[in-house]
Amino acid sequence: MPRTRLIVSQALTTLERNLRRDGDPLGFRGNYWIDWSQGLDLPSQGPRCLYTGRMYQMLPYVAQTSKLVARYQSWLACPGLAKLLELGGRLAGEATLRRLARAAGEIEQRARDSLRGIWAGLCAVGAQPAFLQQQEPYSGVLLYDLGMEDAARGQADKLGALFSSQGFSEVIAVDPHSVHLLRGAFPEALRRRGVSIRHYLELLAPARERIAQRRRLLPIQEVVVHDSCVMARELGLMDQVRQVAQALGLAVKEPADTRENTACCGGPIEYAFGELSQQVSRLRAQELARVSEQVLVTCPICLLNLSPYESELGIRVWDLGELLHRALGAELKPDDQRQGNHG
Amino acid sequence: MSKGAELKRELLAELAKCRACRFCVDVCPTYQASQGVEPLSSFGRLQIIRHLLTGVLQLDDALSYALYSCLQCRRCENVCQSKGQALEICRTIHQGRVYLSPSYVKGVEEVEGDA
Repeated sequence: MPRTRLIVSQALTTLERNLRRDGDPLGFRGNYWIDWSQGLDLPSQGPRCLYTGRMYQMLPYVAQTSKLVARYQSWLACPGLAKLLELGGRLAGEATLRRLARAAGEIEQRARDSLRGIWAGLCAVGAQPAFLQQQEPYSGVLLYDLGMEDAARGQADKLGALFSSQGFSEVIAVDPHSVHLLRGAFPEALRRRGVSIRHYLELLAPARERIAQRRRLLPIQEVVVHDSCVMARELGLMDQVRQVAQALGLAVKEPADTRENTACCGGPIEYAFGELSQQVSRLRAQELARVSEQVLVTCPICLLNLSPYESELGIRVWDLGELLHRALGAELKPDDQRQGNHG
Repeated sequence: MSKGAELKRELLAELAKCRACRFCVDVCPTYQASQGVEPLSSFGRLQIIRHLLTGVLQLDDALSYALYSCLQCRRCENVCQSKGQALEICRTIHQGRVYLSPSYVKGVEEVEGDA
């Protein structure tokens, strides 16, 4: 709690500066954001566009920096050190950020598998979208969460202009926060340009029979579903994840707090209030562990915040994208992709 | 009316709807995690915003912690609706941040100087 104003000020100022300088809240540059797609033959044009919002790709970096913030929070509040870190970050640039991210190798692999699995799922239901590669911009979710509404609206507007100029009529997002930002918070950014946005589960669930026909056997038989707050209460997407999980051959179990009454993973405040965030996520992880060892999430922030309790509680937290990757990814052949193109 | 003044007026109007039943307190994840610190509950945060706007309180580290630690999970709103009210609690807290956040985006020395 001491020096909270300074910490919040630093977070907001750094975000705002990085976004203005590099078009990215963390100051990343280069190919980092599209590493996950290596080896996939992703088209660059089509009626619909996949939008990652960089949320899954951020996980390794966020995992490491959150640990650092929790450990050195009192130091980070010192103005001199903050200035030094900011300058160091600017000089070292992407190399330092990549080194930090590499230390979180496991979560990086999971994030990569999740995105590839979501891609495989979309191909399996005949909805292969295009991908903007390095042109894909950040969504502005962090800015919005921190109350920087004007900056977030500006970022949403840039997104709308980009999708429209590339000829896309539909955007398929992989995370609930980006969908909420562009559908709930700033709907006009896309709507006035004739572009719509959907969460990938809104395409997979209606065509789940095709997933059931193509899937391979998974190493688990059941899951307890953790509904993300945004998925359940903002977007109303609750049946879809259960339907797709069942199509993958999994028995679905429910925790005590579920669906509209789901409990938060603690993630949205991790950037500055690590201790409180961890207390919230521990309570939720314990509740889920009482129902099953296999926990299913559909949000990268939930994945990041519940997975640290895997060893302690004897659970495994799966992003739905990871399961899609295991069930469908290995079967994804060039023929499937071409078929998806015409679906 | 300026944008800030308009936002302040809207916030006070929304806050006036709260009947202080406190049913939202128990379901707040940060209230649960802090083992019962009411300023870290949805109701506590609404009261902080009300008193900041009316000048009863001045923003300090403890109040900043309470306001910016809201998860925006909207679990409190489910309870509020079930009790016959329909406050947009998280939206109100978010708008409180919108009102305050621009003043945070400045040099570290300036913020330190305010402390």
